[in-house]
Amino acid sequence: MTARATDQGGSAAAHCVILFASIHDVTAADRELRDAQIWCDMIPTPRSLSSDCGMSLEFRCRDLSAVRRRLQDARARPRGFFRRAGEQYVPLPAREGEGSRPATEGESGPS
Amino acid sequence: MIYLDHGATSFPKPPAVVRAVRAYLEESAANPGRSGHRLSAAAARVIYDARAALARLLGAPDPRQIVFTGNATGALNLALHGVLRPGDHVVTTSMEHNSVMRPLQHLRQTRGIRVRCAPADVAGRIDAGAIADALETDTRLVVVNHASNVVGTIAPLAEIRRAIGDRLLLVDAAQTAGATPIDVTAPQIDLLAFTGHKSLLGPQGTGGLYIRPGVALEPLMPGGTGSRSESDSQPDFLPDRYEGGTPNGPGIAGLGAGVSELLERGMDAVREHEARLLERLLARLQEIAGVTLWGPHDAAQRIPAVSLRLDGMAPSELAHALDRRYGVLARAGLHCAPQAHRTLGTFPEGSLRLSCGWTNTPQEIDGAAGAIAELAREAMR
Repeated sequence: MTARATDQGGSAAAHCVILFASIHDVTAADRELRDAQIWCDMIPTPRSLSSDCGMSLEFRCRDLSAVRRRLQDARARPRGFFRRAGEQYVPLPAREGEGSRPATEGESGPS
Repeated sequence: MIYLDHGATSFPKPPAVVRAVRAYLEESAANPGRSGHRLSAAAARVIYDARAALARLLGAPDPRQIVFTGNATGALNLALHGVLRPGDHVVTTSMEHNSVMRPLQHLRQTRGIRVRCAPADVAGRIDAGAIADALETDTRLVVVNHASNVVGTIAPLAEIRRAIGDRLLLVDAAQTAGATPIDVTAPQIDLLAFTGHKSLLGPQGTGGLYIRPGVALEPLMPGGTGSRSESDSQPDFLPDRYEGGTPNGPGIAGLGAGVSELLERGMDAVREHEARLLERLLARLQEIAGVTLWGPHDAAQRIPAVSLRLDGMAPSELAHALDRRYGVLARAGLHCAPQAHRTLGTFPEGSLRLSCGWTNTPQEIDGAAGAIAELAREAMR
C-alpha cells in the first residue's frame, strides 16, 4: 500500500490517474483542474503504467466527468485514464460512455 | 547613469523579475517535472506559466508551440538547422544579424545550401518586392529580421508574407518581442525566434522559438525530456521534441515575470512609450551640428534604436566619452551586424547606437542628447 500522507482528496475517495505525453500537458491539466477547484495532485508516473521518469496527475474518480470536460477545454492530451485498485491500475475508456467498464462518479475502490 | 543600451540587453530588470528568479532558486529549483516530488512539480508550474504567458503575448494559440532555448541565436539555429536540407535555397536580407548570417554561412559550407540576400535601402528598409525578386521556384525558407538591431527599421511582415506565398517564413524577433505588438497568426509566421533578455525583460540565457503547428523541424539537441524515457528516440511532440536537457529554470521564471509585466501594461502602451522616447531622441539629435543619423525619420517605422556618427570623433571614442564623462551608456561598433552596416554605408567603423527601453524617461533622452551636443561642440573646435 502506498502511503498518501499529503492526500487532500479525502481517504475515502477512489483515486484515478491520468497519463500524459509530456510534463507540459500534466501542468496544463493541473492548472485547469485547480482553476476549476477540482482536487488533483501531480505524482511520479506509476512504474506499472509507464517507464517515463515524468509525472502524472491524480484525482478523485468521482470527478471523472468534470475532469474529462475540463481537460478538453485545456487542450491537454491525456494518454490514458486509470483507476487505482490497490497496487494495480485499471484502464478506463478514453471517452465517457466508451468501453465496458467506465468509472462512475462517486465510485469507491479498494484503498 | 543613463542606460541607453536596451538593444543589447534591458537594464535594470523589473523588480518582479528579480523576485521571480530569487523565488525560484529559493523555493522551487528542482528539476521541472523530472523527479516527481513537490518541488519538481512547483518548478514545472513555473515553466508552464512562462510558456503560457509568452504564447499569450505572441498570439500563439497553443503554448506547446513555444520552445525554450538559451537565446535568440539558439532559436535561430534550431530553426535553420531544423528546416534546411542539402541544396535548399534560402532568401534573407542585407539587414540580418550574425545570428542569422553565420548559421547560414555554416550551412552553406556544410550542407551546400544556397543563400540569396535581398538588399535593403540605406535606411534599412526591406522591400517585399526585393524579397520576391530573390525567390527561386525551390526557395524553401525566407528569413527576415523583424527590426534592425542597428537602426530599428521595422520590416513589413504582412507585405513580405504576401510576396512569398506559402513558403516558410522565419522571423528574427530578437529586437521586437516585447517592444512592439506581435501576432504570429496575422500575418502567418511559421517560425519566430526571440530572446528573453531584451524587451521581454527577462534574464540573459533565455529565449525561444515559436513553431507554427504543422511545421516540421529536425531537433538540434536531442536528449532527456522526462517523457518517453524508455525510448532512444526523441519524442515527436512539442515542446519536448526540441527541449532536450534541463531547462534554465531560474531564467525562465524571470522571463515569465517579465512577460507578465508586459501583458499587464499592454503592448500598445509599451510601444507608445518607446515611440515617444524615440521621437524626442530623433528631434534632439537632429538639432546637433555634426551629427549624422541613419534610419527612417519617421518613428513609426522603427523601434527605438538610433545609429549616429559624430564628425571628428570615432563611434568608439564617442561611446567611451559618453560613459566616462556623462554616465550615458550606449554601444559603438558593428553591433554584430556587418552586413547591415555595409547596407547603411557605415562599415567598417560602425556607428554609435542609442537604444531606449522601458525605464527611460524624456529627461534621460534630453540628458543624453545634451551630452552628445557638448561633445559635438568640442569635436568641432
